[in-house]
Amino acid sequence: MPDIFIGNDKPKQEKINTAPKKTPIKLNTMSSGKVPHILAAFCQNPAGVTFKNQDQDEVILLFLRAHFITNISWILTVFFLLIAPFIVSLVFHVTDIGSLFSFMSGRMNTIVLFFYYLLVFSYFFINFITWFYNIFLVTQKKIVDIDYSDIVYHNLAITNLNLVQDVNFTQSGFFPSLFDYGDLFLETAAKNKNFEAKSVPQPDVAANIIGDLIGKEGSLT
Amino acid sequence: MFDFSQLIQPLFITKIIILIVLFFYTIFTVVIYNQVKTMNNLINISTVSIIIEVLAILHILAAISLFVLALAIL
Repeated sequence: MPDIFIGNDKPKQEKINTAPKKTPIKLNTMSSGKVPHILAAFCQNPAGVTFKNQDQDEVILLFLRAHFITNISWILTVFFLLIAPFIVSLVFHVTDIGSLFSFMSGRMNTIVLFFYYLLVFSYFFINFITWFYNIFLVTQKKIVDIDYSDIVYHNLAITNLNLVQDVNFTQSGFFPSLFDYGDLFLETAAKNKNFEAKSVPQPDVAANIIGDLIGKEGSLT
Repeated sequence: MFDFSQLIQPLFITKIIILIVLFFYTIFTVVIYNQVKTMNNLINISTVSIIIEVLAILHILAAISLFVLALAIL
């Protein structure tokens, strides 16, 4: 007689995930870290950092800005500008160009020289604060992107973490590979509102932290 | 009597140009300080923000000092 009902005696096969298990990054929601120093570019759980519109119970989990090595071009320019007057005075001594400025008194030369060094300081200071105030913050609730450029432009963009749909990073080139920095991209649900943090150190770690917060894995593009 | 011919002397013109440039530079340093203050209100990093603000103030003082010095000795 043919069997109509046959019990399933076969043991159930469990799916075994052979992929290497990603070690979760511990997210500390208490700000127990240290205060980021003046040249800090990557800081987890920083202490002493506050931003506008921060909630009372909101804790900053990640503090990012561009890697300090990205400043090397203007730092070298500053060094060159600092020694430039010595080179110019040497050229004036060797050639006869200096006679063109013979109408200028010694006191006037001193004022011009002081003014020159003040301009060099301005150049240094503006470049420094442009780097210093371009900050990317991750809290347990929000993503905060602070942009600052050209002395008079500043922008504060905030989005809730639940609006972040994807996080990825790019790391290409000799210097980014050598100093371990890259660009971090966040895609949000909002129209035309994608966040990016340029040249941040350890972009893979940052992407993993944000990925853990939004429940996705940070990917390399 | 004031000799108006000295107004077209290169030395006098240079002095005036230096003073005008220094005056505008002083205003420029104040703009930088205002921006630093605005950015510190936006994001504050305990002692580091204070250091930046102090540097901006010193920058203004240096510019004012140079302007006054130029006014006095030129």
